[in-house]
Amino acid sequence: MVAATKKRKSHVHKHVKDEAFEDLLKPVYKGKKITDEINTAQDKWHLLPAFLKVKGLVKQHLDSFNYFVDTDLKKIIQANQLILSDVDPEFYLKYVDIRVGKKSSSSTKDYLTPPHECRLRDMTYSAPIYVDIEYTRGRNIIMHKDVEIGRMPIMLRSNKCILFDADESKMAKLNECPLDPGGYFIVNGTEKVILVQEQLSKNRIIVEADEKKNIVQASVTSSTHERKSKTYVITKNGKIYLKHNSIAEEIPIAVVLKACGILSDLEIMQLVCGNDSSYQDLFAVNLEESSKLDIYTQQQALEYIGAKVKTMRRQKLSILQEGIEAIATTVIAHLTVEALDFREKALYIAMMTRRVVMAMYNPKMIDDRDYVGNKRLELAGQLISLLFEDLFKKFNNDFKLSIDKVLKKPNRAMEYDALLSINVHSNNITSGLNRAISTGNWSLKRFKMERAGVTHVLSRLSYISALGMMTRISSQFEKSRKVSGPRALQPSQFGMLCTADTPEGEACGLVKNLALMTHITTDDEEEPIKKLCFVLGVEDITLIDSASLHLNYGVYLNGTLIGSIRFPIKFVTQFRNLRRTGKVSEFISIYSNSHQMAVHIATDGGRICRPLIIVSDGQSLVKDTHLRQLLDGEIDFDDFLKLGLVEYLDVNEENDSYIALYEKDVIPSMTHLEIEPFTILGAVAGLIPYPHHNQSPRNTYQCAMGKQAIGAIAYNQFKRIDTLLYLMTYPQQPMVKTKTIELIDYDKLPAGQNATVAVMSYSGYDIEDALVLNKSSIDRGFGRCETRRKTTTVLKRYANHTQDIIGGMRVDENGEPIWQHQSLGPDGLGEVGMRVKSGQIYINKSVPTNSTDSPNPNNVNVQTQYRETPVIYRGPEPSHIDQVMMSVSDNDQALIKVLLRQSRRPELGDKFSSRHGQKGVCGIIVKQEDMPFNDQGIVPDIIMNPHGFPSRMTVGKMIELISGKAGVMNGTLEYGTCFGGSKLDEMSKILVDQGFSYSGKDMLYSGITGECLQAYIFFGPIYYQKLKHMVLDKMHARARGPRAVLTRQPTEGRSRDGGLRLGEMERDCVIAYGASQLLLERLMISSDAFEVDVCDKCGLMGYSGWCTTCKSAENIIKMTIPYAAKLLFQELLSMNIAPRLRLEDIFQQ
Amino acid sequence: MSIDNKLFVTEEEEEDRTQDCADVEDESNDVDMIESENGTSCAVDDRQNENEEEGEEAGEDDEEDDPVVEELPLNISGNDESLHVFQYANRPRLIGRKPAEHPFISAARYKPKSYLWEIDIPLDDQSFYNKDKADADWNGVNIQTLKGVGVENDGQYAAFVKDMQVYLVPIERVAQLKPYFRYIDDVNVTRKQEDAKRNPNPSSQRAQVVTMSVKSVNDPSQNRLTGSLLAHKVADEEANLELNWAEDTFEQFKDSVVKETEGKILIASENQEDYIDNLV
Repeated sequence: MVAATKKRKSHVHKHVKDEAFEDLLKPVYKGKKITDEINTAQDKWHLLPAFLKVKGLVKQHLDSFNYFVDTDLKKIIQANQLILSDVDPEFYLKYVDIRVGKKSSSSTKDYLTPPHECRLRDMTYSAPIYVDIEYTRGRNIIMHKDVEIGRMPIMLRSNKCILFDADESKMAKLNECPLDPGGYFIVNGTEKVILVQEQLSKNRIIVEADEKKNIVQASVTSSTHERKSKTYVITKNGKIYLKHNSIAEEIPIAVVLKACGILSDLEIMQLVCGNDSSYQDLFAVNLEESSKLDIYTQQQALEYIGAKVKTMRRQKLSILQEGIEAIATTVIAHLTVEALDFREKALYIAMMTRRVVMAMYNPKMIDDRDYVGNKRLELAGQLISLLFEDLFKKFNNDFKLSIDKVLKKPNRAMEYDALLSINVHSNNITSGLNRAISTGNWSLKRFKMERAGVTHVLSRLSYISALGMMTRISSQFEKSRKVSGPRALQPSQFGMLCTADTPEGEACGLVKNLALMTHITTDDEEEPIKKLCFVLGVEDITLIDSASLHLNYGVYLNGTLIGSIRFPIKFVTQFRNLRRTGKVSEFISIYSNSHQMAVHIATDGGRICRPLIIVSDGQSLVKDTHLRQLLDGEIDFDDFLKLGLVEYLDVNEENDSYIALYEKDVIPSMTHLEIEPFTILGAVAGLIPYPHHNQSPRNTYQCAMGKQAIGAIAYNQFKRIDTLLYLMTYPQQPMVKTKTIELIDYDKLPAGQNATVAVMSYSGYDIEDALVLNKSSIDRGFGRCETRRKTTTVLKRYANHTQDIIGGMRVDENGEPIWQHQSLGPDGLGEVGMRVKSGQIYINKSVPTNSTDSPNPNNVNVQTQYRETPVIYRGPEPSHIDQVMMSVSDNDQALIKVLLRQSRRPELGDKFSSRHGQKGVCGIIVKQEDMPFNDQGIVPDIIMNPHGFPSRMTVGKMIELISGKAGVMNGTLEYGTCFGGSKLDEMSKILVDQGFSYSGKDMLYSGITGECLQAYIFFGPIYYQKLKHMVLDKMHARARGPRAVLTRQPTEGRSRDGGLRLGEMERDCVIAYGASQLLLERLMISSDAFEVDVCDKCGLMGYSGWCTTCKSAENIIKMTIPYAAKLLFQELLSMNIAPRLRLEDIFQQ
Repeated sequence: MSIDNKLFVTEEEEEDRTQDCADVEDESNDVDMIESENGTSCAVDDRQNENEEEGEEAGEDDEEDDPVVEELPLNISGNDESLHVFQYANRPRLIGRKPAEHPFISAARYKPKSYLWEIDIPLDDQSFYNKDKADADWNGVNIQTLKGVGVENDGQYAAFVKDMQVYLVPIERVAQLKPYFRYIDDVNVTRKQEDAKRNPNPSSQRAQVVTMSVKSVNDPSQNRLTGSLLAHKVADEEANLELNWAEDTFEQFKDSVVKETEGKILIASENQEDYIDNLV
């Protein structure tokens, strides 16, 4: 069945016209001609575009959201299906079905306000949530379909989005960029991303040891829809206990097992230790614990535990019942026992204990928290699902209360229709979802969990920064903690998480990025897999007796023991074969662990996995015929999965396989082959040409800087009105590309320009990585960019029927507008194209002086008084008005957005960087005539100091220069793909053929003297990025200006026109130098000098020549002290400390 | 899983499986069953996993190493036999070299709603039995009680071979019988009551003002037990079904199964591919 539906789906695929795939049919595709010979060893990378076509870069977000709206929502309403009344036992309301954005009656999706309109109008891009309900009204049962219970924010390009499967023309019609990956939400007009969250896997046992304290502990975080709790099995003085937050004390493990019905010591021993005598010796001491406590029966054990439970309950339970409840539901909460038999639970606890005993015996048998296989990634869908369930429960609760309120009334005139009160609460779900996404505060009542900073504003600095944000993974670890483990590069990250892309500083290693080919799984059903295991020969755990439990391999499904198998290898192979034939979902992983004698099967969501080519008998299963078919468009990536040529492996299963990096390395014992080694890098690190030649931190630096580069943002960039947008005026695609660049379409939305660079010293203004720029290059448009800044104004309406208005312009006696209003049009808004200088007004708004009082009903005709509150432009350089938008937002208030544009050419101090982590500021701009030139008269755009190379060891940059130069001469774009790319000797050959030196060095002539330079200069094109840090935004000086009210010291910060602080360390220097008068001037006179009247007699301060304490003017002396000091004295006085000044003459008379 | 799609099994595998069971059963080898409805009981010495073979057969195509010696016809009964398997945990599988017999059973009780089995085994009061202590402390206990919850299973069958034909009988439930020290709990309860009488709680002696209130029907705190607590409550309140223990009825049972399955021919309702498709 499954296979059949999939087949049908793939047929549909082929009929849909797809531009990306059409590309494959063009004569030259990604540097490869259609007639070229296909060589599997080199061309298997074609699987990668095929993978990205199916999966895409942000597919994990979309998959997870789609899973949520299609599957998880239904599960949630099923779990919270019934609303019963406490008052009327007859009453019930049942949710039958739930849908998002589609009515049951119509076959098409509802019309949604298009996303771009939502962005512009500060609205939320959302779709209605419909439920079908069934409820009683009097004696009748009523069905109601399509009841809206709220609105769900929709992830862009998910299957509920109107952009789903949209082609380029439809995207253009909707003002969307076809290259925009989607995967984010639009809430109140801002684009919000729910970052991928990394967590320790749920419902799995983790064994850890603290060797110093001599503690071994096994812990499991149980997570179900209702509760989350953590259970520990820990050692204490060599004895083993069970610990849980809601049990006051640690319970001896033997007591716990007895409470679970394992009464005989023999059986406890069998379950925990099996036949291993060394384990038995270690464990035996625990059996004494229970007899010391006189606990022999299950009832005694349950009562012992019940007496220690500390949960708050509405209903009173006996101690025995508390004990039963604790064992059945509280401990290991994800295995909730519904019946009498606690055996499953007993086995789970016994297995935890066994792991502890194993780790006590052999300290190496512990787990690694940082191992990627022990991590799960939580995506947008899961997070929203948690939130929605919480809101839905609250919604149901409120709904129930209001139903009860009505039903409680003794004699109602009419039969009560519950539907009437459903809409009252629908705002709760909508606003709850909106608020959580827009603030990033995830508060889940039922888990008592508060999480902040879950969402972030999508960075639109450049295309790559937006893309980088979508692949980012944030960790739950505290940034401030000085731990190395979670930050270290894990070998298991290979191919799953990018090895280069992590920030520097406090979040280093905690924030990660996905690699190019990763997929994150969604939840799969456990039941069919369990059934399948039994069919494949697994013996059901409930039927196995304790003595033979540890004789064979245990089979664990999502961490829970479900049975044992005598032939684990065969079982694993058979299971994998079923997966390869498509009988089982391709994302279910299975692997064996010989140390634990276990076969683990994982179907849970959030595992990171990636596709690999299957190797069998030393032969890659992907042959050139398959690649030919792929190029011809006959098959796609999913067919590779279905044909069993490629499969997904998660981190744990990767450990169970032997993977060849290259086809030439394949030997018979190997099981898999990498599709392409460069996929160990992510999208952002994939921009770097020849990264395998660079020192590794340089690649990391570039990953941070690539996100700050100014470039093209999206095809709809001129239609956007964002808070701040940087655009490059003439972006170029890099001469030296990588396959990743093509795959993520960076070449279509580049951020940088190919600059001709001469690596030499010039003028001395190039020290410390400063760059020398060519003035003519700048004139020609090198590094030119523009900034667009938005101002939003809302015209508010007030309760007294007044509202904000826009005034017209004011004119002088000649009828000309006054200077401040020069850029205004008659409507009081700046006109598009007008220049606004600092101090000029571009929105002439006025607010009513009286907005609180109720309007006077007597004289309606009285003119409302207005106060002008114009929006004034402030900035060192004038701007132009680019766009003016007037619209109505969600709450029917007029919304005005004005976009101001500034064109900027590079100036001294602007920051540039190449793609190799080599940043520098512009140190000097030199006339072209004075710059060196080569035989052909080529003058560099940039001169870079050669000292930048030796310590940085960015050899990749040098090779980029040579490849770029060869490409220029050859008329081709060259490749610098990681672990591949154009070969250096081929590039050198081209250079030699074109009459250049093989090494990329040229003979240059001095532009000043015209003489040959004494050395050959390394000379050629390098792709340079202009970074967003520009002098214009940072330059700041102050002679006089605003002061803080409290201290009368100058304000702080550029935005408040603050002073330049002479800090503590600077002060130290001045003191050391002995420049006391300078110190006095800087710290007091130029800051907060204040003249006080001090009474020489009492030492306190008075005023106006009068001492208030002595009631005399006799001994008053005027002196100047810092205002802050005066403030301090007064504050001390206010807390009953009298600071008295004793004055002396420094200069004796 | 339908019973009909059982594929035929070779004799070797049949034997294999018998050994399997022996291994798995370990000390609980003597598996007994009782038919609760009509009181007849018998013992079956074999039990097998129904469909563990699919994959193995596909994998084991070594015809030469492992030739098919004989094919046996298969009979499945399964109308009204109510087979329960008892696993005697904590009892050795072998006594000396001989497989242990199941113990002598003096009484058997069953709670059909909770699937709770209890059987009494008289204690040998001749050896290792301290009669004085039993009388003094434990109300003269002279039986050991084994208790177990019958667990549902999917596709477990009991089988025997007769006249070169295999007969399969589905198993209803499997119970692991474990010792249950009721006498300790009983003594504890009486002791607690006596304690309470002897040192009455000072707070209970003091005169107290009693306020009476009528319990509201709509009181949300009324006991609504769920999950395991409910199951325990149901089990506690359920009355025991006293059953007779009958020995040596195996032959009789065999005959009845043979008789019942006679004349029925099993036809596979689907082929192997359908079967696997149905599974996953």
